[in-house]
Amino acid sequence: MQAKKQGLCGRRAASNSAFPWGDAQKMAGLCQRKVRLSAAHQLSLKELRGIIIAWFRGGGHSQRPRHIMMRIERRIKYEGDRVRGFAKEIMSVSGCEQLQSCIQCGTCSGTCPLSIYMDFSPRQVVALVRADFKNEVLRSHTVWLCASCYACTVECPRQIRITDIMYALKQRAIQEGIYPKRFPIAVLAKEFYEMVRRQGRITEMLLVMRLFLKTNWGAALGSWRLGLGVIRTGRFGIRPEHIERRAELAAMLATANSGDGKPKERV
Amino acid sequence: MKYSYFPGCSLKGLGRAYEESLLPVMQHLGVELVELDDWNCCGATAYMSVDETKAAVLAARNLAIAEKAGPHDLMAPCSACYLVLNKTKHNIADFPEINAAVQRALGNANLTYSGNVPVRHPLDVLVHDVGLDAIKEKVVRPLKGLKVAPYYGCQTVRPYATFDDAWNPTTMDRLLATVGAEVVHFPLKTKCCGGSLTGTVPEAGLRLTYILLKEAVRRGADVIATACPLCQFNLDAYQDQINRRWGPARIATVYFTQLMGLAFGLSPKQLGLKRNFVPMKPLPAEPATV
Amino acid sequence: MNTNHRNGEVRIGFYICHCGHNIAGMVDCPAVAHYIAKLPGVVVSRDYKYMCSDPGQELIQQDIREHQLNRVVVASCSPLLHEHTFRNAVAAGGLNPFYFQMVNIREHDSWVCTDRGEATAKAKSLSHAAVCRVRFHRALETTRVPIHPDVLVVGGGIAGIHAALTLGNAGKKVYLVERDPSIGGHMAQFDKTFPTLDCAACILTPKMSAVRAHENITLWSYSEVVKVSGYVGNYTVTVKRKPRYVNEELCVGCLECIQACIYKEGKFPDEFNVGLSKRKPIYIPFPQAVPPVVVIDPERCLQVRTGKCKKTCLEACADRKAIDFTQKEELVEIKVGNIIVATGFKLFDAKRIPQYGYGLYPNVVTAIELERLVNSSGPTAGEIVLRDGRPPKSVGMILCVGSRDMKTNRWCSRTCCMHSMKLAQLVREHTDADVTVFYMDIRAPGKGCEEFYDKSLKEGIQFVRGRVAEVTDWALAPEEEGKLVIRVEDTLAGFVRRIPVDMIVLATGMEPQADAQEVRRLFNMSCGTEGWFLEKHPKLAPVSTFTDGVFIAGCCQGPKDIPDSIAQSGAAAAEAMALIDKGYIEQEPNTAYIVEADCSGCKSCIPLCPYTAISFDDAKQKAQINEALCKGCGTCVAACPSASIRQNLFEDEEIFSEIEGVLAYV
Repeated sequence: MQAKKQGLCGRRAASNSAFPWGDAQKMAGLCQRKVRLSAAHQLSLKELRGIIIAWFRGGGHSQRPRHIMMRIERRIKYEGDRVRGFAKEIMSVSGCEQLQSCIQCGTCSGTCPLSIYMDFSPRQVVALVRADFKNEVLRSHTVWLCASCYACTVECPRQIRITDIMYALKQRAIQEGIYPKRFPIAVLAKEFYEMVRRQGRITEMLLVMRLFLKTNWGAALGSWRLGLGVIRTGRFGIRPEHIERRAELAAMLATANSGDGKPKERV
Repeated sequence: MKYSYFPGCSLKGLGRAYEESLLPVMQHLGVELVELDDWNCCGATAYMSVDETKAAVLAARNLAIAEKAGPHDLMAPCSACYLVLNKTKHNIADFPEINAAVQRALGNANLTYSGNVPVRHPLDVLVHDVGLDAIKEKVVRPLKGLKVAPYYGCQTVRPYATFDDAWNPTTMDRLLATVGAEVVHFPLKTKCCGGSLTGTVPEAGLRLTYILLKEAVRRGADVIATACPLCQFNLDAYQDQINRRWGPARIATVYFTQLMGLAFGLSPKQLGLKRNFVPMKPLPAEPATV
Repeated sequence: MNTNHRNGEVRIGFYICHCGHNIAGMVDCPAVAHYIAKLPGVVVSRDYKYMCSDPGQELIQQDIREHQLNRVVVASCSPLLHEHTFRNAVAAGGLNPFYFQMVNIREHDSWVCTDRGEATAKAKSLSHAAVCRVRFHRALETTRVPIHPDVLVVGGGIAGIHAALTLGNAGKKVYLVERDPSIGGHMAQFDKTFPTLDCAACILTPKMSAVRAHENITLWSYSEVVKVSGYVGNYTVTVKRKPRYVNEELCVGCLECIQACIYKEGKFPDEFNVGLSKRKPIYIPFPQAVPPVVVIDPERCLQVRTGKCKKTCLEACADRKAIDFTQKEELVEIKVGNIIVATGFKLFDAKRIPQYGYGLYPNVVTAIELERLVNSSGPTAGEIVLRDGRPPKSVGMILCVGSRDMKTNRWCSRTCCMHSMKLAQLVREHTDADVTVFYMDIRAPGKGCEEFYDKSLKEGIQFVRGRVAEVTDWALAPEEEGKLVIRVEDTLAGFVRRIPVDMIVLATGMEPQADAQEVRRLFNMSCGTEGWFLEKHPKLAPVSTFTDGVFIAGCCQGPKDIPDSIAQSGAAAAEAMALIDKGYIEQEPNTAYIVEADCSGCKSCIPLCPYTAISFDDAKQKAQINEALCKGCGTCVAACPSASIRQNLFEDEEIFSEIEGVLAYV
């Protein structure tokens, strides 16, 4: 918690104007300033004051009302939030037509090992795609947390190829640039893509190093033990692996355009 | 028996122990492996995340080269490569627009693809082509007393459960039993290890790995046998981090080919067993250390 | 038959109907009538507003009398709708009804054309064709096929029992054939039935006893139908009576022989208790079996297999001498007029879904197994216990196992939601365990069923909406140790849950019987793609099949609950009774016939007939067609290489002249 205890704002607002706390308007402005506790939680100073007072007064008795972190958000979706044609677009990707038949049984989420980390479960993502809520889907974490283990595809009673739908959504998200630029998964995909396009093969250590450089220096430094382990076990290799006929591969990839005619991804 | 051999980027890099153990084991069994000429990366999960058509073209180049190499089946030991190559085959066969794009692209490189080369996994080849009897004959040092948890990972049997059951596969179990090991009942044998998420989103990916390690230890296994280089890396290299985050779970992870090699009497060094982060315990009643 | 010839010449009456605005709106009817009037042979040519009305029909009859017409053509709507009407009108006018031809200028013309000129031209064309054709029509008679009054009911479950009783009560003689040693079917295995929680045995056994006691019903249990030949009203059926090695007339059901058997304890899985208990080779399926006669399993009994046994059972039955090891399989032939097939269903094999752990974890059971556990005459005398004898503290019920799943069976098995809720209530009653039902949808459509759902909720049964992904035995939290863990997404609450339970109950779905394909071929019925026997029309004829005289009832037609099975079997009985009481059926004479002189005996036609109506007369070396079975499809007519097969109402001359008539206008 990085809050600076600036005292009990509001109380001395009307008194001494020499003190910065005395200026009522400034106080009001200060009180509205947000304090960042974590990625998901923010408090205004006013709320913070409330917590501190409650803590002093409440002191841990169960019958006193405890201060709950309550963020009032208005969540309603209008027809204008839908992007008509999105469902059709995803269904036109090879293998994704069965999406229409989803009965929302939840087997996919139940069997997905990563669903407990997702904001929208795979089932919800399918429902959102079917209802044309493109922005909500592409902004969710779900597609990036998919490990492509195919458990959902194999279990789905309607034989919907959910993993392929996730891939299609990943492609759309990258194409439209909707992903946090430092988010390692999407960056990994793009770095991988680039390396293969240029060299034809992947050199894992080089890829990992590039990934860390682009996203999280801290993690790179923190993984020094892992790096040492890789060297110790003789698995380290930074000589770039490549194929002989690189030009041939480049020519092949150049002719392969996605059938939907969308603008090429910005890599 | 002759097969075209597609190592994949990992078997030349972090997963080199897989190749180091696979090649001598196959040679010992009289299976000839011819590395595919100028093979390129299969694309794994990353290419599919960026562009579906390019991913198909990338993988199809390997299939076309394999077709040119001769009428042999193509063996892809890395589970991800195995999956991608098979998936590309299916996509080309099922979806005309992908087929058209692939043929056009291949045409630029004077290659053709007609869909005739089957893509096989070494487990499939060993159990169904070579046969468990032939393997049993070559065993000189049965792995008696070694408790092994067979771990297939997700991409070996899903979504194409061609040579084994998607939920409860048994090829590796039978193979390990043939070389004398005691196969432990491991219900998480096809649960995802976290894949590339162990590096990118460790709190999620590593936890999946932790669950696997913990359960293997609980079931009394001495070692986990894998068929995928990424699974092996995840299960092997992150145990310190896992121990710090969630709790103790220490067990060695090796490739099933390494265990086979040990049973055939090949030296541990030759099989790449030195490349483990967490070393394998010595085989029961064997004086030499690994 | 009144041909009304005047010097052998053809005298045609043509009528074109306006059908209100339906035809006249697009076709110029007076113009067509005017055009047709000029054709040779046409004596009368009229247009009228509604030909099918009484005045319209009377017009035809009047003209037949006044103008001595011997052919009639009406151009109006579809024959499916009114051909019968007009044929009757013609017959009432004294002319053979098959001198009539109908032209469809509504569905085929006015309803599909957009241009008046084109529509009128088409109407003229079609009418011209009919006029050319009708001159070649001959007088024909409908044939009458008599109906044998006896009925065969195949299958002794609740549907078969009800059909037999209904027919028996109506005074018809019924043969009820059941392949198990006792009738009762699946219903006999249930404990209570939904939604009333009536005891299944209490409501079923009186009906079973009534069957046995009924003077009109011949009950053949432990018997199977092996051959069916014939046609509606005249079936010859061969029934194989399997040997029980016990004389049905002499056995009184005292069960002393079972006590005396050299097997001191049961060793073989008891079918009635779905393998949860064991029985001896000599057994009675359940205490209330009908007939209450013991049966000996020929594959397990030492005496039957090897001939070397002390035969203590014979000693025990010394006074009545009911046991008879010399019994042999018997083939009996019967003649019946109608057959009702009520062979029921089988349950989905839960082993096909390994994710749920059936067969792997001992405490995963199917709904029918739980039904037997709950039942007081079951293997545990009504105690619901785990395999180790402890009562469960928590039970999870998984719905849609093998149903609504493209990988196994696509259909909904219709009764599982209800019977699972029933079992849940019974489990709460017997054990006080926590019960959670995992569902995708709760389907409770019958009378009293929604209220039953509410009752389940009020009794504290938890409902989690989510299809269970897997059942595992590895624990992630301390409370999961030693239990079976269900991992499921609680879709309504919005998160994934892991729920540890002691016992899991799988609501396995219904499937067609394993030998459904053989059985349906035996009775010449069709099957749907899913394997259920096919009804003639899903809405309007749910109990008839495409084979006249063969009816289906109960779950063999599709999954359903007991009230619906009984309703269907009553319907099938009524349909059969309608035929029997009429005494005959009339067949449309559009059948094929063979001109013997031209038949070369090549036999090409015989395998082509989808109704197996053609047979070969070895003596004459010619093919022959059974008119009663022939449906007039025309396949043999087209295939015959020597053109010796012709078809009534579709003779070559008729068709060729029709073609000429259509082309003449062009």
